[in-house]
Amino acid sequence: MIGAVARKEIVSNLLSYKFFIVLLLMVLLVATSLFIMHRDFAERTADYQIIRPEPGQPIAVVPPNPLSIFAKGLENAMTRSFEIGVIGVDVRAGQSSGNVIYSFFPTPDFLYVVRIVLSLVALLFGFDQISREREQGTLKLMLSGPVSRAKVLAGKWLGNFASLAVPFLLVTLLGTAVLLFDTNIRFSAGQLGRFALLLVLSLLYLAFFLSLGMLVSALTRRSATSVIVLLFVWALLVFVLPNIGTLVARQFVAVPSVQALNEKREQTWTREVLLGIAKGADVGEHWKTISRENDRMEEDFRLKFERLVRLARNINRLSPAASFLDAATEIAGTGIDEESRLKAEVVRYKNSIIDRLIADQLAGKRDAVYPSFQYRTRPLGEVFAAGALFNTAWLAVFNILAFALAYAGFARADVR
Amino acid sequence: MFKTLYKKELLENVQNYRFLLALVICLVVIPLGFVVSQKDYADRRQVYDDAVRADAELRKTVQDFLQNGGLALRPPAVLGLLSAGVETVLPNAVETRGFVTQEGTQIQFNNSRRLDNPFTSLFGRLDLAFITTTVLAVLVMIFAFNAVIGEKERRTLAQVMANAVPRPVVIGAKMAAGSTLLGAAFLVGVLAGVLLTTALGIGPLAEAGTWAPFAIGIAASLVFLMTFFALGLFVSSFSRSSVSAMVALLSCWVALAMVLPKGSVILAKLVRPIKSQQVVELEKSQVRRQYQKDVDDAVEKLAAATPGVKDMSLQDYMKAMRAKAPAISGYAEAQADLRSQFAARLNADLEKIDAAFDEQRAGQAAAARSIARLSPVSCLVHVLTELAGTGFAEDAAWRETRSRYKRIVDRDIASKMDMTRFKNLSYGGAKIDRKAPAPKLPAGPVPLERRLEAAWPDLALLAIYGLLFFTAAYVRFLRYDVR
Repeated sequence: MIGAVARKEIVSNLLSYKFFIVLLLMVLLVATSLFIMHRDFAERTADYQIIRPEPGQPIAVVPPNPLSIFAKGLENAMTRSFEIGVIGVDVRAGQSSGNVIYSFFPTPDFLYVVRIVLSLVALLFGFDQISREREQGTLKLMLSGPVSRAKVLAGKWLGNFASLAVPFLLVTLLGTAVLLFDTNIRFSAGQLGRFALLLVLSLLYLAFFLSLGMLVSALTRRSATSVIVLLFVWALLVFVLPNIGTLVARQFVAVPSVQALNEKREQTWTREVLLGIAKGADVGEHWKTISRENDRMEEDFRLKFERLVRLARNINRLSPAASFLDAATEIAGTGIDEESRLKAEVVRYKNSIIDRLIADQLAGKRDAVYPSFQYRTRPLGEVFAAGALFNTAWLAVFNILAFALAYAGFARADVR
Repeated sequence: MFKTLYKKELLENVQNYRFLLALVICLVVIPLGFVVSQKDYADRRQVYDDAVRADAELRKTVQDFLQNGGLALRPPAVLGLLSAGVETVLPNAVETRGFVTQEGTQIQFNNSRRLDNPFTSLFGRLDLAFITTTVLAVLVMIFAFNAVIGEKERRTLAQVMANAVPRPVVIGAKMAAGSTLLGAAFLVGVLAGVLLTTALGIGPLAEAGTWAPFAIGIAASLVFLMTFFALGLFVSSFSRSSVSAMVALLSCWVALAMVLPKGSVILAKLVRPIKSQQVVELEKSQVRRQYQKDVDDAVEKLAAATPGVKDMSLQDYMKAMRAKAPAISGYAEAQADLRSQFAARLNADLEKIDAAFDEQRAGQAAAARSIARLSPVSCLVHVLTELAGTGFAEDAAWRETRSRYKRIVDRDIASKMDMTRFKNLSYGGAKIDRKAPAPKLPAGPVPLERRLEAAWPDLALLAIYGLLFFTAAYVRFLRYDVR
């Protein structure tokens, strides 16, 4: 019976005007997003070829991540060049050479499309599933037969989810396949696996909003009322809650700004080098002192920053949009934890060559050769252990909760 | 008749909770956006003020300047809550790079930008531009999607028309009522946001000169909401069902808010491709290296032509300089002239490269902007960024600031540097008064007139779009089958 109801939903969606507009919308969105992000990636790759260090130069730069086409995340911050100097790490320009107009509008990566627009589309699939059939009188006809409400709801959910998921997957996979024709974009097997996980996560996220739409539809009498309530909930979950998390966290954890940190570094440099040199002291020792103090300031900043991130993340988990974004960016290798890990690796690299760097600088050695910086993104196991699995499970919990509430609402609804 | 229908539309929207929910959304999202933006501004302002104080202490004299390098700081945009725009993209300062030499100063933007708040990078900034074009635009869709088709489905439209009501009055009343309710909810949200931020001590209107651009920005947002409502009316009068109207409106929003604005940049890059910043920096480095080589060759030739200089040690050279030996003084003067000429040529060439690149970038940005103007969403974002001081005018002004700072430093310091034959900077700068005050850059925000000049075309276009959509809805409704 569930299958019959699901089939009925699929056929009714296929025959509806709404479905084809949604399909067109998905094609337009995913195609636009992949096209824009692909060009952005190509430009960043070209810029990387220019700024990549010669072998032996103490500069840490990572190449652009192909998965950033789907999940831009913190890619801009991660692909800057980090020049190792005698007093620490100098963060230089990155691989973003776009015109300023690019910053006026949010990055339309795949995650943005799914998080903002397709979530709305999923709501539109679900908002009138119960209320419309009730208005048309077909719901009581269906329930007058030997079919339980649970089966009707499950069938509706499955049918609508299939109507949403199949076009979504087809369009995304087709778009990605077209991307692969570009020989400059090479996905490793691991990256393809991560991409598959991104798709699964996206489906989980859309499934939640579909369930949410059906929940509200079961509780309201009219479709027009459903859509208004759903919009409010969508705005709350996608925009309000993620921002509240950060705002509240900053009230409890004070983190100095990056500019303030730079000012402190300047003061340390002034004190150690200028005043030290004036007194005729050993320059090398002063550089080492600066490097140690910078490391101490960085460590202090990092600890406070991690506390802020942890607190904000926990508060943000009230929003499935935040959980989805967090998990997806970590899986893609462009998330907060990955960025922190990269910075830690840069500091480790600096510490491994700083003594030699200072000695060479003092000796006036200009052509010294240093080991190259190597960086690999975290293995998937580590990504899951660090929180992505929890976020994925949390999304699944949201799904189950929404569906359970929808069932509870539908089970008690007056279908007349 | 108009008043009756207007009241009817108002009551209908209020009674079906639409207005209430719109009010709640505006009262939650807009103040939240204001508070988040203003807190961010307050933090950045504090850091800026501290940096200015520290800089004033550190660079009192030319001596300090030569030791610590030069720095000109950019204040954060006061009205960044309207639109973040280029605020996070523009550097915080221009600074000297390397030693100030007779060949001129290298002035660069400080491109070291670490993440202050990764969540902002992930979730985007909750400024008014984003709230209006995303959250409120969807809210407008909710108000408008069944304004016409919904009444037809409920069969009330036919009843209204049966009373010999002119069609223009019906559609006019819908437009007026929808605009009134949306405008009221939006203004209440803005007022709540201003009051909340003022109570928290981070009000956006506390500083001088912010009232006018803020008020114009709010007015532009209202025009945008009305424009979108008119679009909703038009789509509603075209659709066969409410659901189709909603989906069609959503598609329009996606096209106008996502596809066109971002697509315009891609199209502009195809139509007017430019080199990347890194390539330009590489070109400039190559030019500097070439000039350095040419200068060194010319100085070597001069030294070879001056008896005794070529084989002189540095100490002997400095002794002779202090003793004002005529041959050495003559050589030093000739060398200084040579270096000045090369410096002037180098600066001219570098400025040409910078100017050419800035022109190309401006051309590409202008092309992107023109294409993006096909969307009212882009028009609103352009208006808000210019008014907030985070738009193209600010970007252009900051680039001009970099050039101006270089000219000031070259005039006050670099041109007075003397460099020995051995290019030893510790012994150079004989003509500089090292105790003189360090050069300061008289910089300030872009004047309101210039910002308005940049914003008015988009403001006018926004109004035209509103009229266009309403006219389309009006014409369509005149032929609408109300049965």
